[in-house]
Amino acid sequence: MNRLLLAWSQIRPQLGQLLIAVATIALGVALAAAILLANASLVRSFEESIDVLAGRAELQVTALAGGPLEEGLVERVRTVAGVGEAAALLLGTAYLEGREQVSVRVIGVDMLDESAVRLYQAGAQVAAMEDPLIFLNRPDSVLFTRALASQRGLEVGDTLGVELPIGREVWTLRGIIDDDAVSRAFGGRLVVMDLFSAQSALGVPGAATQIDVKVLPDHDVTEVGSRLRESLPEHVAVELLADRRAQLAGSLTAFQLVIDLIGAMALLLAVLVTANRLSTVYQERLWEMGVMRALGISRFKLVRDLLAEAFLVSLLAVGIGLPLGFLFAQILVAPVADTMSLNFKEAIATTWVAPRPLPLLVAGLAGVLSALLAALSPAVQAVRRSVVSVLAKGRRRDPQPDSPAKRYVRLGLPILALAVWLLRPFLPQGALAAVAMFLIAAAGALLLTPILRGVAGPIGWLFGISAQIGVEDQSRTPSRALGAAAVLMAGVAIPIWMVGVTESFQEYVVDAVMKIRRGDLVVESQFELGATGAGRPSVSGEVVDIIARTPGVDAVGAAVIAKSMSPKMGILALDPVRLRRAEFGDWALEPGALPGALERVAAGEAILVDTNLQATYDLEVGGPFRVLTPSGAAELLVAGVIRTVPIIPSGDVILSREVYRRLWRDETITRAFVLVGAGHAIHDVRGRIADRLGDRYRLDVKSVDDLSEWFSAAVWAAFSFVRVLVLLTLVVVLVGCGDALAANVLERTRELGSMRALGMSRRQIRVMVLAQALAIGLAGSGLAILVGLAMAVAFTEGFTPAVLGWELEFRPSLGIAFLGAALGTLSCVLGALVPAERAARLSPAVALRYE
Amino acid sequence: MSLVVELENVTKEYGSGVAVSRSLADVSLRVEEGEFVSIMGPSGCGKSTLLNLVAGLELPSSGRVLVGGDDLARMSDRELSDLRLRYLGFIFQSFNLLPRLTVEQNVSWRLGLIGVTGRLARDRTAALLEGVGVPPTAWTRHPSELSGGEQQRVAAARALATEPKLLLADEPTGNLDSQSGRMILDLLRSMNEKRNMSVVMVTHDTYAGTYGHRTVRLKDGRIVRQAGEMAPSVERSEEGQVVPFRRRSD
Repeated sequence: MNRLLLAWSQIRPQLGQLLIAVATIALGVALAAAILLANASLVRSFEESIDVLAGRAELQVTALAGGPLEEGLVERVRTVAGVGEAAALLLGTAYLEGREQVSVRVIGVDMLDESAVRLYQAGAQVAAMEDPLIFLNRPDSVLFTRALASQRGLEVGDTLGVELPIGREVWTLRGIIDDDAVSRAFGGRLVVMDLFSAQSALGVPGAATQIDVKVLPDHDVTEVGSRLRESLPEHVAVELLADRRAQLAGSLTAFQLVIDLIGAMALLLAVLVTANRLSTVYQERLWEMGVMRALGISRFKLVRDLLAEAFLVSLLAVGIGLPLGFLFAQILVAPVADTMSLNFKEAIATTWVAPRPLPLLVAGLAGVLSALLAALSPAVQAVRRSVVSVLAKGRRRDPQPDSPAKRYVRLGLPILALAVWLLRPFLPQGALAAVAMFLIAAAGALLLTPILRGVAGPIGWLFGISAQIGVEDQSRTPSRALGAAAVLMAGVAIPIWMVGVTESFQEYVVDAVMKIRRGDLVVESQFELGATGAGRPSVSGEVVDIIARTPGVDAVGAAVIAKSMSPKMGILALDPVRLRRAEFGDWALEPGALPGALERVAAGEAILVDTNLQATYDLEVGGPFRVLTPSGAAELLVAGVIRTVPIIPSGDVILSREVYRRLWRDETITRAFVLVGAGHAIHDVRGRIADRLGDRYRLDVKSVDDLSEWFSAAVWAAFSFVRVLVLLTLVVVLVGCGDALAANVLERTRELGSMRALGMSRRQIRVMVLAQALAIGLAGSGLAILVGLAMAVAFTEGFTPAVLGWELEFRPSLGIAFLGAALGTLSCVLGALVPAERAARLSPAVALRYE
Repeated sequence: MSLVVELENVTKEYGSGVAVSRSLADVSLRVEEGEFVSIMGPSGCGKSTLLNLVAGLELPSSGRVLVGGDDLARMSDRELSDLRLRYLGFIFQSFNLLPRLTVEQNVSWRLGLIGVTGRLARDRTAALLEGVGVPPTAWTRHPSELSGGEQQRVAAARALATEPKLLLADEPTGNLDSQSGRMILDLLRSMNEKRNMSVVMVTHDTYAGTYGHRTVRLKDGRIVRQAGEMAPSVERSEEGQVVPFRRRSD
């Protein structure tokens, strides 16, 4: 405690100077805390939604193929020994009309079934309900969560328009659910209906999505699960709820790793900036430290005391950073939710982020460790100086030749980084990608010195002799310049890396998606699935006929996008015309496809699989692919393989919509592509289709280019947190470079004084400092382009297969890289304006006395 | 002979109110072309302040400082910088060489400021370094690799690079052993004699003080004694000719 009090008395007079260190660590902590809190909150929301839907159930029966089950199965479930309660639940999505169209999760529960009441009602208290009989007798009856009702400003008895798979309907609010957990699940966007009403509203009479089972008290859950599996049909899955949660946690791990990596990068930047600042602060106290050492204090004790000071700085920063992070989390939660929605193809609720202790603790500890890490090197360097030299020369530092060890590292690390880079294809991915990224960044930092020297000549030539002197001088002992350039390099490389990956993702996805989605017009629901709009809800298959009958329409090709759980795959079901007419898409199959493969798929005799599905299930062209569907097991002939962006990571099957309709018993479509006949204006046909679909179906009729833009926008929205991080990073670069250059000016005060005494004007001093900033900017940003792109490639190869489930082709965007570098350089020069002015305004007489 | 420096009733105070401290009090001094003046006195007597005032690094609280006939208080920062670059040379006690530049670069950067670059700058740098006795083997080294005496020679070469009329030396032997100190003093004398360059040297070393034609003793900010040969023109007329500083704007 005494040591901390002593440390406090040391740093109190220097608090002003430490402000930047406190601010950057606080910013790093805030960002880390925000990412961790938002992540934890969304994962919890994900888990809560599962818990709410499962009620007190321990087992869940679902259709292996995904989609609905027969509701009648619940009776068979109840006959199995050990089953206590069993209730059917139907899930679906509806879209509330109003100023802001909102998607809601619809849950259909059999209100007359006592089992259902026992399973679910315990967790969902209905606070206000009109007459229960009216609720059951009227199919328009719904219950809203308290949060949803207040969001929409509705009270019991109010009505509202809603878009359902069967078209537009009007609902009446008959009651409010007053349960915190239920309200939190899906961000409160939850509507409960009686099972029968929900079945008609969602257009699936007699169907259920799941049957939840509670086991009798003295029975083993696993054993009852096995018995259920044996007694139920083959297309039905029985899962333990605990397994489902574990599965969810597993699938989130890779995503969380990426998000955490970004948080770690933010802290790394904070470490660099803080190390620069602390180095300056310690530099100013060199003489004092020299005296202390002369008076008998050991190096170890001095380092310990300096670390104690850094610890106090970190506490201050954490104290500011955590509340700030809590606020940031409220902003960051929406884009992170969007990204998760895109990754998991689920609507993930954007909720208020609660201040959870564990993420805050982790972010706080990371902040403390960052500050200690930042302080360690400057502290050790400060106490390593010889006492005699410190007392004689004060703060001045003469350049020291590199030790052999340093020279070996300087030479060896870039070679090692290059070797790892070249050996990438032959080494295991994942962890190696992280090692490669680290080595690339470290090698980049080591290359800064020669690059700084390299730019001295051109800058001198361009900006005059004072600029050249400044850059030459700086390149000799570039510790400060290195600090600034390292901040800049990291600060610019991170956006280049993140934006590069995002852009590649966007371009690749849009190219791959749009290659097989062509035509003149697209018809799809006006509503978007999930916060990202990553998908569209199903619409009635009737619209295909309506469109086909519209004058001017040459052909209509509808598509269904669905998921199946047995085996796990995405389904893209297409009208045959989509495969037969080249205007609808370019179906470039991988070599080795069966002759006439596309025609066979169009005719419903075979299927195509994407490269991921082929790899996941080791499928062979010409061989069978066994799937479980609501109509039972089916063997589909694989006619060919296509490379595309799959709907789910395990891969997709592409088949005729007729086959899908028959096997999956689904009449809906996701979107329809339209070819306009010769001699008809696209605009006119678009208007006619919209008129014919009228008010009954809330559909958009748009051009295919609009769809492509919408896909691009959806990807950008999913990565919108990248923009927030890029902005924050550039602010840190501005502050960090400015700080490092201010430290540089401070450290060279005496030199600047002698330059002024020997005839250099204020303007020349100003130009000199700005030229140094420009050199740092060019060197740091130039390297950042290489390092950022290399990191992006390492990341894409090492992490995206784990996160996305498919290999992303990296497409380097040099435009973005150069823009990032230009912005970084500009930030550096802007950050140097104040130090340059300070240097120019230095009184030479005072500067010459500076020790 | 012509007048190079003239201080008229110069007072320099630092601070304000009760915390004011007077470094120089009503000092008047003239330095002729080709004169070597030693300013002596104990620590804190105002020697360095006097030198800073002559170099235009500080302005007097009252009185006038004229260098090359120009009143420094009336000059802009740019003009003062130009004066220091072309008319003055400065040698410091702690050399103040730029530690990250080589010996050659430490001399040539001032040549660059007056527009001498490339081969011409290299030749002139070589001549200057040879002139002050720095061996060519040391030219590509950094200051920290040289002895104190060698560093001060480099500083002298740097000061001479722009062929100044007046050389200001602030305790040039203060950080040197006696042998190196003597060599530097000999160098200053030789520059004074060969180039007819005026030298104003601040020192508290009595031996060093003897190198000047004239010794000015300061105590508590006042000139208490002047000894040695006085320049005839100073005695003769207050209207003495001046060696003008040709401003770049002229």
